[in-house]
Amino acid sequence: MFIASKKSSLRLFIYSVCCFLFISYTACTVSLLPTYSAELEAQITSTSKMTDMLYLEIMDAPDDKKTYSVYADKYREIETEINSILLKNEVRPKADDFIASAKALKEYFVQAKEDHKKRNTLSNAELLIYNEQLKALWKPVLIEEMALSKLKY
Amino acid sequence: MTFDINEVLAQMSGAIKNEVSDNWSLIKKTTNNFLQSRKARLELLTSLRLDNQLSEEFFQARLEDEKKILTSELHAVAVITKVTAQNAANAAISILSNAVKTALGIL
Repeated sequence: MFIASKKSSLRLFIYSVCCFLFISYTACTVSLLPTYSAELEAQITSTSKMTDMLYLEIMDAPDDKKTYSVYADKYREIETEINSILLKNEVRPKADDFIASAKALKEYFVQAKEDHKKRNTLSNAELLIYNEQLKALWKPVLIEEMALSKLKY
Repeated sequence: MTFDINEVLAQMSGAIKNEVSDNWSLIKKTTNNFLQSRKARLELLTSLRLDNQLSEEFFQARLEDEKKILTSELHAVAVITKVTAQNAANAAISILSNAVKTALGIL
């Protein structure tokens, strides 16, 4: 009887250890998203500000100063920053949503830039719409990064 | 060694509920924000077209672009949802793991 009880305790002990090892090795954390980057959030905020500034500047300019060549450098600078944001997302694991939003932003920005380049000048109404839609495309990019700061594990 | 599976499951369920309700208001707020912005943009776009300040071609192209904006917004909502799911799953796993460790006398 003593031996049977000892065997049962041993079995329980082994079972407990197995349970512990199972939990330790398999119950790791669930990871569906990339980790938060404060640096990337700051870059998104500053580049969206640069985009807004560019369009407000063109809108404020007199008609003869709205030509593409006057703003080509600023367009290039913003496009470089957007490319950098896209690239940083492309190398992060589990960042499909982030890449999709950054790509949509890049495509729209290039399309708006090319329209300005092709027609040389844009009306204030067109610039206003371009700026509003660009702001609308920046917003998801920023919200996505900010949401990552709410990850607890 | 005490391990009450019903108690642990109740705690896990509570943790999931807390995480989901904490983030639900954020999802709702973000979606409403997107909808309000869209409404304002479409009003502006339509009024500028009606005033003949935009060509039909430009107007149609920007309406088409609204679909791309919507897709991007849905990606943002998906990210918030995944944040909620990740926090909820890990909170539940952490409770289970701690309960087992406590039962084994490790914690």
